[in-house]
Amino acid sequence: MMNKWISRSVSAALLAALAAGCSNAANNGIGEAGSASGSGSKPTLTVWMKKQLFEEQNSLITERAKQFGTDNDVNVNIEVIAYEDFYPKWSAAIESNTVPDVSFFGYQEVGQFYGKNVLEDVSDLVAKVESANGDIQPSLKKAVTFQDKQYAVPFWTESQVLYYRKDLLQNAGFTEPPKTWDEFREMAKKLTDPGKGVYGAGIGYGRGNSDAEFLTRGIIWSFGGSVDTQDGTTVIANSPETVAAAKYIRDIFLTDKSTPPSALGWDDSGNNKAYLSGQAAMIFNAGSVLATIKKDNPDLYEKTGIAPFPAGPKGTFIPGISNNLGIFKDAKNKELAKKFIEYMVAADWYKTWIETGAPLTGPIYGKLASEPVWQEEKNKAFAESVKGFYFLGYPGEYNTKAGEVYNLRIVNDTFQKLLLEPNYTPESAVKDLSAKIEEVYNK
Amino acid sequence: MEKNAIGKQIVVYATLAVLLVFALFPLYWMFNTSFKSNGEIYNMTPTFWPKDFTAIAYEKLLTEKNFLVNIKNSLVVSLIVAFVSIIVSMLAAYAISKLRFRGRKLISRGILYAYLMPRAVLFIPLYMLVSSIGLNNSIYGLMLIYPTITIPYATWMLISYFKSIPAEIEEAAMIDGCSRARTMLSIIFPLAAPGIAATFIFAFTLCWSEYLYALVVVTKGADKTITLGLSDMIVGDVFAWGPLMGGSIIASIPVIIMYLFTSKYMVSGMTVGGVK
Amino acid sequence: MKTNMNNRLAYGLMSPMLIYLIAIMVLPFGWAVYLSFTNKVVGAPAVFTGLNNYIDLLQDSLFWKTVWNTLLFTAVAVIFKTVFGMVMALVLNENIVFRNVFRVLLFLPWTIPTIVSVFTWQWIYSDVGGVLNFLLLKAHLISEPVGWLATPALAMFSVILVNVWRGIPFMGIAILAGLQTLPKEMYEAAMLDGAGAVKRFIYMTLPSVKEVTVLAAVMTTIWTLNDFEIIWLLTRGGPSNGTQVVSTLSYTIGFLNLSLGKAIAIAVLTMPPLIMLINFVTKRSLSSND
Repeated sequence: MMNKWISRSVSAALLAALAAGCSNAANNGIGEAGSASGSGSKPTLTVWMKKQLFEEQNSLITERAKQFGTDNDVNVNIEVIAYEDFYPKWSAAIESNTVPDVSFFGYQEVGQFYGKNVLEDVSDLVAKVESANGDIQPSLKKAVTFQDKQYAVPFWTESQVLYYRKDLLQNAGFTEPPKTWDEFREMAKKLTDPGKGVYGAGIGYGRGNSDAEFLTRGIIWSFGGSVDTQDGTTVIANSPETVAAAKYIRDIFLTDKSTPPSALGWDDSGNNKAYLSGQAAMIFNAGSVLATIKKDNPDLYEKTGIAPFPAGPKGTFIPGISNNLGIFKDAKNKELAKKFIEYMVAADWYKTWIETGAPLTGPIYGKLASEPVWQEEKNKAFAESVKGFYFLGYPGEYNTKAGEVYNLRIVNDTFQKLLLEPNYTPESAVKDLSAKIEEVYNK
Repeated sequence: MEKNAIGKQIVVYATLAVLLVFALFPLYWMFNTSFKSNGEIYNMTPTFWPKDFTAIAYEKLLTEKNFLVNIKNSLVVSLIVAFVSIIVSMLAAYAISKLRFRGRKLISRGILYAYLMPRAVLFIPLYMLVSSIGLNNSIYGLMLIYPTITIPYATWMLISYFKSIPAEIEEAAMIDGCSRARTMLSIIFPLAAPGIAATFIFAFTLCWSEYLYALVVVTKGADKTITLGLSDMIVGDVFAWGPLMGGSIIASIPVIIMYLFTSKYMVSGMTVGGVK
Repeated sequence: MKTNMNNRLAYGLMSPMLIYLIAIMVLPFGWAVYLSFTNKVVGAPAVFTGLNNYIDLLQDSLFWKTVWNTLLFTAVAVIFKTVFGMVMALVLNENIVFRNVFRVLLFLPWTIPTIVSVFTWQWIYSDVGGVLNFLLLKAHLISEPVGWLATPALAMFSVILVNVWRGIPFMGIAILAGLQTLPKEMYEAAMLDGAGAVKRFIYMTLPSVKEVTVLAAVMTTIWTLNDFEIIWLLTRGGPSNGTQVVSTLSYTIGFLNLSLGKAIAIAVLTMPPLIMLINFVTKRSLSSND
């Protein structure tokens, strides 16, 4: 009989402990998970911001956020999160209705979430910000405008540029960086020396690779092709121009062999590694590489040249990266959120923040782009590129379907296949690409 | 006899050597990398020992990046969850392995059914559950979820360890007048000590190295566990390799200590006590 | 009467576990399964669509490729882990000098957080600054660096290698603990009887740890099937879906495309074989020595 009681009491004790722990924690938890639920006198504003490369920028943002809290008698809960980590967190938050008040969004996410109807219309806020601080560059506003309303406030841009080894180019007899894609191809060929482990074209593909999605589009657009639509519904990807671009890329990889051996398994850090180690003579990237070199490898920094994207037959097309702050429709403190955003883009503080991150982070205000820091030799190309930004969906307007195509990495997958299978022709690749894109647009 | 013994020794040590090299080489590489400067890490030819030995990565970890806080959080979560899981599982495993009852087959299968859904999708409904009690964004929420990973495993493994103890031993004890509780507590559990210790350690490491749930449930910097702290070393396309490698070395130390602590229980238990 | 008592005792002992699992697992699990019959997308309400997701998946060649990859990945990894785990356990069960030290050392791969071991291996596999290529080149086994993650077949090999590297200690220690639960007297008796080492292994050691080994292997199989981090961080399922497994595909569809319903449907579709495996193993192990 005793044993029954022992086992029963053991279980009971355990349960009691668990329950006590849970309710205790729940009380703490509710206080901490806080929104304006009246658990304290001050409302709490929750902000999710993307982690920046420069620690100083992260500190500046956190300080500024806390300052907002002090000035407005509000608890500001600011979390700095890495970009990739946002996806599961956003989904979990939306589904469980625990969304932050203010969140970072890349413009693709703005489109995606606008399509799911979870974002607040902030057109009035954008207008207010502009009248107080000066015009925001039009291309950036366009990227977050749907049906004439803005669903996020542009916060900063990142431009992609061409990095090249001035010394290696000179040794091969080139004094200028390539101005066209054909020049790029030629120079890459001349710069490739497998014996030394040096490759001219530091471009790669991989499922986690967003660099490749952007670069491929940049090339395709400059040839006159597209991976989307003109009017928003009819997919025009299957065109001779797109095929020409595909042929071009294929030739660099398979005919010229100017790309490193691991290039088809690269994630976003692949081209960084290639350039930093000296394996690649030329790469395309945002300013993160430059920042790293400046800090860790002054010698390489001296040898690095920066130029805008080469031009194709139809001109120079630079895939734009535009980062924004938005407000969820279900946020609990929308008015406060709007005030917060205003505060974060107030021109005087904003100028300091942006320039701390140059050249990786670019300004949203047209007039800030002419500041001295952007005239420096290595920073110029970054600032100039913003004017020529083209967004997903080109030649059509950016729309949520284009964002989906990007997120699905359809372009990446197709090109990986093209480059891995010798019998897969550019024509079939583009046909399949178009079919897959149509699937997305027709859903 | 002699020749056999020496031959066997050689085989044993040779195998051990191969296993060690395979297991330890990546760790040596981590160690190696953690003391290199960023420039040297990106060298085209790998260097087997840092040319410029620098401990700056460790410095950064401990001062700038608050790594010790992450370790503390992981320790708290992993220890508590491991302990609670083991206790809960020991009771359940005893029941399933030693008792007859209705529904035995169903329950023993049911435990493993908990693993049918990959965490990569299960985390959303779990997160919703946790936030409905207000425990989202806290390590208590994590502590609530982690046993879903550890309890099925622990129960299942303990069942097998308990079963390997011959039924005769228990029967003998009970005939001698021991109650169920006494046999359970003073005979079965001690005899299965190696298995319990091993299961505990694994439950601990399951929590220690978990990433996805921690990512979703914990947002506050001060609550982050080591896996989150380590992934923070990666910003976009830039990896802070030095601190990343150094951090993981630091992160292994508590586990090793745990292991050393429990390994003293992992000695053959049958010689203890008057079984004869 | 006796059976009745056992019922109550048994359920009493199991109640903490049962209560916890039912409270925390069943609801989310059930809700997730329900979602797989809807067109649920993150942010939008769920609309019941019946078997649509399932039909779409079964007709999708990518799904079948994923299933095949998953089976391949799991089977190969588990076999290697079991075999080497057994070897490791046997070696560590012997009386060797510094045995405890070696136990700790061999245990280390499992203790390193997955993200770190993955990134370390990424470096080892790298074509620039990568030790593997470097050593192979020096040994003249290859003429130029290999992109270990750059082709589907090689990538599959590479992710399996990392999974095996990481997973051997689990099997090793689990089996070792089983070996250690064996009575020494049995061995001593057998040795006195003159049985040789191999005979002892086959007729005594093996049967006694068979149980633990099989169960540990089942555990490993389930974990390997659901393994997410290693493949995700190394290849995200590429190149060209060469290493796309069920967990990575679910994650991609569920969180990058926000199609939650479909993602869960993928997971649900892979349950039947798992259930069969679990049923088979539990039937066998529970009916034996009862």
